[in-house]
Amino acid sequence: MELKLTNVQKRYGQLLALRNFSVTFERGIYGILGANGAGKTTMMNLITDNIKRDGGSITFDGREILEMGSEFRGLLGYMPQQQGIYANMTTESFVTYIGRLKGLKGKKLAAGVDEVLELANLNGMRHKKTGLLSGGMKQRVLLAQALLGDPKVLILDEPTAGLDPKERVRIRAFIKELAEDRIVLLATHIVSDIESIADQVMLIKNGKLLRMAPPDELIAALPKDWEPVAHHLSLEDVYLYYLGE
Amino acid sequence: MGEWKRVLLDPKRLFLLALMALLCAGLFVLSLLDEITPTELGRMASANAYVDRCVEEWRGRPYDEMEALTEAEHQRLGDVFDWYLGASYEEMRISSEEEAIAAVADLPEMVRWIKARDTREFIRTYTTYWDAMAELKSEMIYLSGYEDYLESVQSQAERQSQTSLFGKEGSFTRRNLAKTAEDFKSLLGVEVEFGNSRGLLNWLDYETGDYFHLLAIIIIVLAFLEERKKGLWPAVRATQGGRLRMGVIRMGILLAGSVIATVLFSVLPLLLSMSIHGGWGDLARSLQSVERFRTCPLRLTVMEWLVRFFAVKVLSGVLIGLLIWFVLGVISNPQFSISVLGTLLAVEYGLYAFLPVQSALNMLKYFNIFAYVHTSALYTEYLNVDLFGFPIGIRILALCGMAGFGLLFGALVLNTQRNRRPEGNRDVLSRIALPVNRALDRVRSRLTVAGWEGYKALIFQYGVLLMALVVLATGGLNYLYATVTSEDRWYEAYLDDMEGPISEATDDYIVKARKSAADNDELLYALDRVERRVETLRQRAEEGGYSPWIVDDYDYQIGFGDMSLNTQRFNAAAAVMLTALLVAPLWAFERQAGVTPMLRSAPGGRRKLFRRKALTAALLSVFVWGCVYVREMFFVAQYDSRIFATLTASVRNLDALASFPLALTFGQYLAILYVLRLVMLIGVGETALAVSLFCPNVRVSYVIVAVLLGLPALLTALGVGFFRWVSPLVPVASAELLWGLGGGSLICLLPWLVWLAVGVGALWIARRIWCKGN
Repeated sequence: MELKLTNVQKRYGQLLALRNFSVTFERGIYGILGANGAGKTTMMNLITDNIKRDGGSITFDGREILEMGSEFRGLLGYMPQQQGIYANMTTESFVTYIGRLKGLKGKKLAAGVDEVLELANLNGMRHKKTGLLSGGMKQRVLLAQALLGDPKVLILDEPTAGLDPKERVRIRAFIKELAEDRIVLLATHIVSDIESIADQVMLIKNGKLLRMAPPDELIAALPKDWEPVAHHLSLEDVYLYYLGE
Repeated sequence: MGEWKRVLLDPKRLFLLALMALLCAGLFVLSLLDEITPTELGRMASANAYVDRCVEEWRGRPYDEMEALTEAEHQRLGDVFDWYLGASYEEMRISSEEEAIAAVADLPEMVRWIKARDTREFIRTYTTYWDAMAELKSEMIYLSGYEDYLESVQSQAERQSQTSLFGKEGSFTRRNLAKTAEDFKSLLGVEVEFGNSRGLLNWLDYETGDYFHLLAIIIIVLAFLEERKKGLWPAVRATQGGRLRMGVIRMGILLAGSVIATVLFSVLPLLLSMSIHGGWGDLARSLQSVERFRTCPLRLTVMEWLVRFFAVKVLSGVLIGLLIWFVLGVISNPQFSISVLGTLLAVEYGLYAFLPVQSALNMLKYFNIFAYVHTSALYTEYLNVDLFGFPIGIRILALCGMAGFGLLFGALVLNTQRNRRPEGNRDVLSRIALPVNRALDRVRSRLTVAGWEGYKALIFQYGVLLMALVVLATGGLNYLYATVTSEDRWYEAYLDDMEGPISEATDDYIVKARKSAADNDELLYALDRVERRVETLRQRAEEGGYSPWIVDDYDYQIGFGDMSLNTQRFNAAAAVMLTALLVAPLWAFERQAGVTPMLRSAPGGRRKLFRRKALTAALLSVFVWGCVYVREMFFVAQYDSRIFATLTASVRNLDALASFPLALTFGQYLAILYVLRLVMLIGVGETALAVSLFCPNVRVSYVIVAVLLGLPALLTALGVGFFRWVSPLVPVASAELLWGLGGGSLICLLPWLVWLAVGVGALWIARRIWCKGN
């Protein structure tokens, strides 16, 4: 299983959001770090084909994803950064509706909905309207819909934003479990989330991939004279060293 | 002062109220017209001046003399009409255009159309003058008999009370008889006077103003709840004056708002009506001088009644405002509260509009929110309802109810304002929401993508409410403009009798009819016309190679032809506007919810979803088509079933369709007409869907589709010619294009093709954008 971006380019007017961006993803969790506007969400939107690329190619197991069309989207689970949700739908309805769009039916759909609501710890909220849920709960609803249908490529944009520490730990552990047989792309500003679960960390700056390596390697590669932020070196130091101005 | 300023001087709200006032006034003027054209406006003004002049000249004369004068006026109009249509009988008083013009020299609109030789406009003008005079005559008959009427109420009550048929002593029926006699006794001796009541009557007939008043009250009450929507409720409640004091201030604002609403939507239309129709000087007459108040047992002048009416209107507004404020304020969930309020209003309207007066539950009809919306009915209708065996007048009942419920809801609102907390409220309705949602989720889990699209459109986007509005709005549409004159009556009756294929039996019928008409000029004149028509049809059918039928042009003219041009356009404009508004939220709703990236990332979120949206738009268009045009079919069937007897005849039997390029029967013609309308309306729906895709939220989408599709259609219907080229109105109406094809003009096909291309093109672009990324 391989998702490959080759010389991908995206421009918003004068701004070059991604420049000749090339990266290959295989099974595992990829933590994506970058400042606001670095190009993380643009990259995710290009993979989900929510925006049009200006150049390059994105392939899945050697096939261009645009040509694969709905076949590729059938392998995708996407949790966007913004909490876009139908406020009038109940949690169960919302997840069921997305399940329908993913092509699930009958018992498979019902079982899938039960499973992801359980995983996202939303069983107590399944008949409550999503508009009445707190920010953290909405985040879990969005995560639940992304997990539905057993996606091979899971794209999570800020999945733990707004969650309390206990829930973050739970979700992190859960994502770690998921990654065994799929590609998980996880963009976040909460560096500690990535540090504990990511197999690889990508550092993106001004639309370019600066580094991609396991967290330990990135930390080890820091200069000897770097003053740690806390009492020992961590991924936050890597972030500040490479991405801090 | 801050809250007063925030609610009453908010620029957006002021703009909305001003717009509503303009719309209310505009709709009032439109309600006076049979057709929405400058010509019709001129005709109405001329007829009003005519009536005003007659009233001034005749005022104070004995009723029998005035009745004779109205008959003379009718005679004068009838003479000119007979001459114009070419009647010939011995007592003809007019024989030339000069004489006709001289006879109606004081009626400029009649002179205009005689000179122009425009039969359609002449007939309409004649009918307008005739009807205006008939109204005056009817008023005279009423006034001359009012004293007798009052006495008859007394004697009837006395007579019936002695008959066991009208209940036992102590029964409601017996008490009702006594009360009615007692109420009307106070009117004995009241002086009724002849005058101009048209301003007042037309204003009383304009119920739309009452709905604007209701809407204004709802807008003001919604302003009280804005803090909840904006998340400022806890902050407001935490201030010193944010609880009870705020409630009291808002009650004052509600009263002021009701005064403003009454001025804008009741007083202004009255002033407008009086300035159009005249009658200012007649406000000092007794109320019963106006026929509509024949059963009103109050001894007041019209002016005194108006002052009292406006005061009641203001207080009714306050009561309705308090009720709405209470319902919206007591339920935490805004959507749920709106649903509850909507249901309450729907039930109340149903009871008010459809509960028969004779029903044992008729108290629910008058003890009803809409009794406070249409307050004038409390004065124009006399009815006592059964309250535990005692007859109570609906006016007294409603006024007592107003005081009682005003106090009750006032107290409840203040209590809610003081004690309701922004967080942690679990009202009764919220408590039942969970089991309701659970049950609904069971149903919703079975919905397919198409089912979900329908569900979203109907429930989340308030499609059900809009559809109810569509049903209500289209219920007010006119379908036929009938100008059956007395002269036409016999001609129509003969055609009705003879309708069918022309054969020897037709000739026999005419011969027999001539014999039985003997020397009745009117019948013979009508038979001449019939005979001429039969000859023309025979000749034309022989040349065209089809079977001649007697088909009455008039039936088709008023239903689908030139005579109903404006009605057709107005109905089509309504259909276009309603379709556009129903479809407008379909895509914009997704954008507003911010779910588009998620939808587009799902395998069924592009083409499949797009197809389902297009299907939903088409179904909503079909719904509007049904409301406007299936209803039209029923209306036509009810009005004149003769049309259905001619469905197998060739359309070329009609004068207007004599050159129709296809050999169609009427059945096929009508089927094509209705299918064309459906296809064009679906085209409008799909165009609105495409526009909706580019709108960031539902509100913007409503505005843009209304401006792009609805407004040009309405302006075309109102007679602004330019817009017919940029609006889908003409192809949706279709009748005039098909009628035009009947004249052999193939250019009529162009508007259909253009708008079909617009619909398909818009859908194609939208599909490309949604499915291919941006």
